[in-house]
Amino acid sequence: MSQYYRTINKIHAPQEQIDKALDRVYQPRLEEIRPQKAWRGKALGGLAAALAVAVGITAIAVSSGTHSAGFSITANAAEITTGDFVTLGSLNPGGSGSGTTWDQNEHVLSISYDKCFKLFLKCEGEGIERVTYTVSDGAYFGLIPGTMGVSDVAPYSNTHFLADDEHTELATSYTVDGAFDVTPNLIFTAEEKEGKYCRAVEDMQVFGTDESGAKVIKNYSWSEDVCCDMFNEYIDPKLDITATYRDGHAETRRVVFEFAKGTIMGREYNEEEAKPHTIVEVKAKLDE
Amino acid sequence: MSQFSAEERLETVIRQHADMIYRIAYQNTQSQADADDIFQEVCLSLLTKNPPLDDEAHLKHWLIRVTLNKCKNLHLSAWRRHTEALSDNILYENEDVRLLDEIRRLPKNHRNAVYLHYFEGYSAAEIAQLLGTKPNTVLSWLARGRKKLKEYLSD
Repeated sequence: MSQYYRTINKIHAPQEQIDKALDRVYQPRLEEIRPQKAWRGKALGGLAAALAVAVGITAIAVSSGTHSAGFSITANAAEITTGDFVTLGSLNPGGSGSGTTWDQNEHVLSISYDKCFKLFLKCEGEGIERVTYTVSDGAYFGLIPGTMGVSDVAPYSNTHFLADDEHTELATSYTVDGAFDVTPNLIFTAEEKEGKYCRAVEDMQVFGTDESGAKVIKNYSWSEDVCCDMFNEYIDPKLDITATYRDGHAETRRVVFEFAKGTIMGREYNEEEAKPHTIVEVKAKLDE
Repeated sequence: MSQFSAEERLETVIRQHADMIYRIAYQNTQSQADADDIFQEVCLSLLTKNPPLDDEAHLKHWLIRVTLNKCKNLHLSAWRRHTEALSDNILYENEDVRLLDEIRRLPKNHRNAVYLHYFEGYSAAEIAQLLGTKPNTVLSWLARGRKKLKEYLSD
């Protein structure tokens, strides 16, 4: 293995990369990384001086009363506040995990949508030891088993299609060491069995056999429009984020979601078709 | 009280561990540009996450875990999946480039176990703790990784 050692030993961090990192160390980093905290500190410290007054005005402009917790939350690079809903991105248009169930005794067809969304979560604040993420009311997480820094994973108990994916661990809650940021899939899930959105249900009742039922289910046309409507009508997903600090105290903030219909051109959706398609956009804000 | 400022201590940590961070990043990504990005992200985490700087062993473990996690996140990103890596052979002689290609072809766990054992000098038990697995599993990774590299080197 001596050749291995010699080769690896030739790898060095480029000096310009080290210099770039050190530049960050020596610049006024708090202003750059977490402006609202730095400004807040300055505003409290300078009560009388004109400079402090000027900084205090800036603090109001930056914070705008949107940060009542001691930590900030960003998801997919968008900061989530108590202000307006912000768009985090769109659900995977072809998203796996949707399905139908035919109850031959009741002649009821239920339809469910489980749509994946990659969530780049960051919870930042001074002195955070660990952060616990918990979802409820129509959502669950998909985690890569053994992700470093993750502990206390509470499994998602419902049987869904994604549960068959051995590369995904389904959970309703997990805790992350404060040193890590984790990027789980956030999966929204809604089911209805009233026939309101399931356009095939009348056909099902006409035929009413296992075989025809299976045929109708197979031919069901999945729709992002229906998915969006069902998510807004049947679920009220919430993401509770609890930061536990090194001094033992904890704070919880709740993120709520809504869904909107967006449009992408065909080639982004399906290379075979060059027409507009509906996508489901995910929006989020902090619960007040 | 320490005679050094927080900035000076951070500078010492970055200079001391820069090569280790970069070596892990370079082996676990497909290009120098990716390794550069990972290096900067790890250094930024060092600034924002405030790990304890006084415990050298703990800090080194933390840096290794953060670097590996950043590499994993890079592989997961949608952007990464749809891009082709640009080759860069500017750092090495041909012999080194070919060996590095072989190292990158190893399964991720084998590659990292081999590096941590043969370069950083960690025991199987320590690597198991770092990578969140059992020592016997690490021994298996080491044996397979070493065998594949030896096969390549003997060709």
